[in-house]
Amino acid sequence: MMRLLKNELEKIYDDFSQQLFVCALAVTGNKELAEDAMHNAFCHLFHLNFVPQNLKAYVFKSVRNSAIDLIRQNGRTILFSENYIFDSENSHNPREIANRNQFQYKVSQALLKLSEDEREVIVQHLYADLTFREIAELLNISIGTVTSWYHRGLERLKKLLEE
Amino acid sequence: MDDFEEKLKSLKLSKPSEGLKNRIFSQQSKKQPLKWIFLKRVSLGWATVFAISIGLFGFFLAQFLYTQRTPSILREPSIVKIQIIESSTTRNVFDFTKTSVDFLPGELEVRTKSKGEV
Repeated sequence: MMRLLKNELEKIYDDFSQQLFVCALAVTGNKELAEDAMHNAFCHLFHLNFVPQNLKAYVFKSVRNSAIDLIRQNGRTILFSENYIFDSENSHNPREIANRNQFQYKVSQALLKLSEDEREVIVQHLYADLTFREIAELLNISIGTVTSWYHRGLERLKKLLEE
Repeated sequence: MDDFEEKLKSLKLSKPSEGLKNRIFSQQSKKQPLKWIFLKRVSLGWATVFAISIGLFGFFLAQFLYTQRTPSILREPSIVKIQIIESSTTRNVFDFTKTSVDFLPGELEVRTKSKGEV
């Protein structure tokens, strides 16, 4: 069973590592801590003595819980990195790179001004490609609450970027 | 999905480092049972129960060892040699008209007795 789980986990890592990483980043705001959260979560998953029904959802939940644990261990003193969620753009046009990097920075900063719930839901839906149903299961809340947080957060984000 | 969402979605996301997969999966292929024991998280309640159990075990072990000690009465009597350099009295030791507990210079062998023997 362990071998099967390891292969399945490896497949999930290959398919969703970036989404998992982004989910952890939305909580930790720090790349090193997000990687530690993923590492801890997978270490925990390797020692499961059962196979979860929905392994993908279980992995996302484990990574998020590990990220929350790390934040608690650090006494919530972790500062969000300046451009924590995005990577610098590659393009042949320097002006385009500058514009996109500036927009990335603005979005990163605006996301920080949202509530934790709004930020997490936006990141999970937009960047981790999770459906509202999956997010509701992950956060253990109703779909209505998820959509409400998402749309409210998106509106606030729009206003913050227009300022 | 509207234009604003599309624009947000088009941003290039951070990726985990190349070494992370190796760090996670190669570590698991090695057998590290002991390390796992130390990584395991234990709740405060269990940790307290464990600490109290260790303490009680130590206490009872000490009690057991204390009662298992050889009683002093069974111990081998020890003999101590005392060398008397100077007589303990200045009176005539050959005067047997009076009782005395005086010692003359010389060697004296003393057999010690335990509390129970006295």
